[in-house]
Amino acid sequence: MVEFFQQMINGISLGSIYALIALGYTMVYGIIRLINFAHGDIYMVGAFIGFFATTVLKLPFFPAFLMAMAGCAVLGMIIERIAYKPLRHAPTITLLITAIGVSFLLEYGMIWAMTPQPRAYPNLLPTYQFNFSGLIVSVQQLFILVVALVLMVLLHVLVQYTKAGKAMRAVSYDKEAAALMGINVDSVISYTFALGSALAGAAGLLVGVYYNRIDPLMGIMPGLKAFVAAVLGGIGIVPGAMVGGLLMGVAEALVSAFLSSTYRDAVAFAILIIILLIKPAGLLGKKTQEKV
Amino acid sequence: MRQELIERRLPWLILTVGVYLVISVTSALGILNDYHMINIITIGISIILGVSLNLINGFTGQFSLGHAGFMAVGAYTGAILTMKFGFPFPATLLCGGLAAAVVGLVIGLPTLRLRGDYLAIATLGFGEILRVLFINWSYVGGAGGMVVTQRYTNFHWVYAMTVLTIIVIRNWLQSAHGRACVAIREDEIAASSMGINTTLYKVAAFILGSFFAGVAGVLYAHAYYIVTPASFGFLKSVEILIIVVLGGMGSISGSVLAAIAITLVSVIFTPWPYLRMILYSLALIIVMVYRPGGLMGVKEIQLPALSLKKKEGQQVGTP
Amino acid sequence: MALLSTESLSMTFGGLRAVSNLSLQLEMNDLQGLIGPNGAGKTTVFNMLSGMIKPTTGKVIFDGEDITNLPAHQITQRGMARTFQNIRLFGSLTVLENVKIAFHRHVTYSFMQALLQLNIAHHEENITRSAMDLLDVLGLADRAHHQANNLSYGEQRLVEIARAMATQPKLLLLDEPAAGMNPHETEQLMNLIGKIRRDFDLSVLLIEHDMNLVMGICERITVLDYGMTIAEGSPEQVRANPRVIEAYLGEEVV
Repeated sequence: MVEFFQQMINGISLGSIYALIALGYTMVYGIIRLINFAHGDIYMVGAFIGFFATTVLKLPFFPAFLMAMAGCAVLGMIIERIAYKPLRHAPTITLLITAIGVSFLLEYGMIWAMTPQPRAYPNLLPTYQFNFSGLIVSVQQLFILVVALVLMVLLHVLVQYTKAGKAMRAVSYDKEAAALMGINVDSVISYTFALGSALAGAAGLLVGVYYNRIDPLMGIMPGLKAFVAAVLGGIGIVPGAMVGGLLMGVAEALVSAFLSSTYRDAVAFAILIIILLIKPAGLLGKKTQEKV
Repeated sequence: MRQELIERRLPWLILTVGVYLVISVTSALGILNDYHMINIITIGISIILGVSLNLINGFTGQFSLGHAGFMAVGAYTGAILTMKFGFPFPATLLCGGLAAAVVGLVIGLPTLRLRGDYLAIATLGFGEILRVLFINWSYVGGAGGMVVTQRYTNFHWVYAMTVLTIIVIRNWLQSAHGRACVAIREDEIAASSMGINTTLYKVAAFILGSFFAGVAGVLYAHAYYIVTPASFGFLKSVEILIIVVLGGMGSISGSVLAAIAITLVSVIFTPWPYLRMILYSLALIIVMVYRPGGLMGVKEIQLPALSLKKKEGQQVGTP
Repeated sequence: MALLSTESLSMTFGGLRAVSNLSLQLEMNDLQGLIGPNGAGKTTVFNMLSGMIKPTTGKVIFDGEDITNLPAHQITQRGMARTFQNIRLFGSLTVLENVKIAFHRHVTYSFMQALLQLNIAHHEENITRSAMDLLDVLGLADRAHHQANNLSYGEQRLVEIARAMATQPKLLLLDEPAAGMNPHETEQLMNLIGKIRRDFDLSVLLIEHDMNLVMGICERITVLDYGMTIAEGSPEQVRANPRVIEAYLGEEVV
């Protein structure tokens, strides 16, 4: 039983990272109907920016954290401007293929620049562990959870209660109508990419701290899994991404512990396929019908 | 009509036999060495993969990102049959294709209800699940893979299978059944209102494409000594996708040209593998932004028809 | 026995009743019109009849069979064909290919024959010939090898009709066939619809905005407003009906 709760704790901290990445997927999908394949790689870049900020620039945790977020926000906006904006009216698949291209470009660009060798992340947080009668919770895990929660609450407030958030929701609901209402659709899309990418950057740095190890291909699997989390919760729905992320993390931790860690990567995709076949709109989504 | 058909096909027959003879003879004379030949084999396998994926993605419009998974099924089936059961190679090729086709049916039936990007992700997921299953299957060597000492794959087999793939898929596309597939790509709702059972045709295209991916897998397994789950991951699926996209989604000759070009580029860039991937990804982005139809779009290369004898009455054919 | 009849057919989207309690009757060889202001639910009716969407309640009986829950392709196979208001041609294919695809119902050779190209040549020749004949009837023969997307609006609507005809229907549903046509083209279309009905011995159900066209060729008209049938009868009866005039207030009735 202790083992079970231990895995729940591990799963929740992992899941909160998935949730952070999933938020970016969900916001971008909500606004331009694109599965931004490169999103997982933006998270990787965030981890590397954090790595540089702390090792080369010798910055402490928080400045490094903000730098990773800001760097990724800019990167996200640049990618949108160069690769996706020219394809605003192209078919979904054209956009998806472009996103795959961007993803590979970031991965292999980083390998080219940094070699494929994994790098050891510096210890930015205390490694102290609490022991609750056998249940081990590290400071890092608590920290990840708290940071993720704070960011999610901030995002929620931003989307629900600010003017920019309202503009985002308007654009995701109906681009043409939003434009007619005087909303600058291009800048809202750009802003959405910045926001989603910043969250991915934050997740990248947190993962670096948590696992002490980063490499240029580290974004592929978490990226795909976070996407699954977004679909699980209901793509385009912000709270859905949070719920989906946590569920994914927990499911993965439980399978690793009680089945075999080699099946870990299959779990995500099994969940994905089941949800797509049973309730494609996701746990929190509503059914929509194609217009004839 | 018959005469016209022969006249149209003769140039292709000459080209096919000609390329075969040139490569066979130059290889026998030692002008093409083993290194050249293995690259030619790679080109052949890439053509089979590209053309078969094009049937699904380009002609039927069902965007699959799991083609390497079907190749894996063929490769492992082939390796098991020859290594553990001593099957002859032709039977192995057939069984590898059939096994992949069966898996294609199992995966296609539920997922082909999905549209566009969701289908892409679901097929990607299935490809990854297949890979994880192979990693966990100790009978075939788990993550370390399975050694294949029977090196059956040679130029002749690869050439024959490549030509077979192209002819069979072209035949399909020239038939009413193939037209049904293309109609689904163009407009699924309109296709169903023309009386086309869209599910049936999507699954049929998927199975046919999977079959040839399986055949390519068998050839691959018996050309490179070893099959590992890692060889058939998402990266491989994307490599096949690049062939289809660059050549043109909806063009067989485009896929053939792209498979040749991509393999040659890979060979040239062998010392700089990462640069090669950067080049591919840039090519994907640039093609999508500036020329989304790829090299050939939906057009095919046409060879001029050969006139067998002088025509009496001048006939004007339609283009 | 009626060729097509619906029994209290209703469709609800969310809370909105797009169509309620529709009872249509269409006899063999009828040419009936379905009219109504924008948003009256006309296209929704077509979508339900042709199996594109499933009605919330009610039944569709076609040729003596309950087809309410059949998928679209099976309904077409039973002899009901339609065109689309927002043209849905196979745009990057030629006009001829568009029509050949629609002969799908009559393809008798198997998958295996297709893969091996075994004895299919004469089948294919027949399909091509029939498709050309049909294009001839619609005056599109010289457009056969043009890409469908490159045709004018009016021509595209004609290709839609050709394609629907190729499925060899007993009942043809035409969704605003004259939209985007000039008066001259519209007049030709009127003649064409009449000719098709005679020559191919079929029934037509027509949605149209162009009142001249509807009043000119339809024998019976059903008027929808807000999803409900507000009038039914001959063009004269419908034209005189005060509810119809009220529904069309602001639009030109005659």
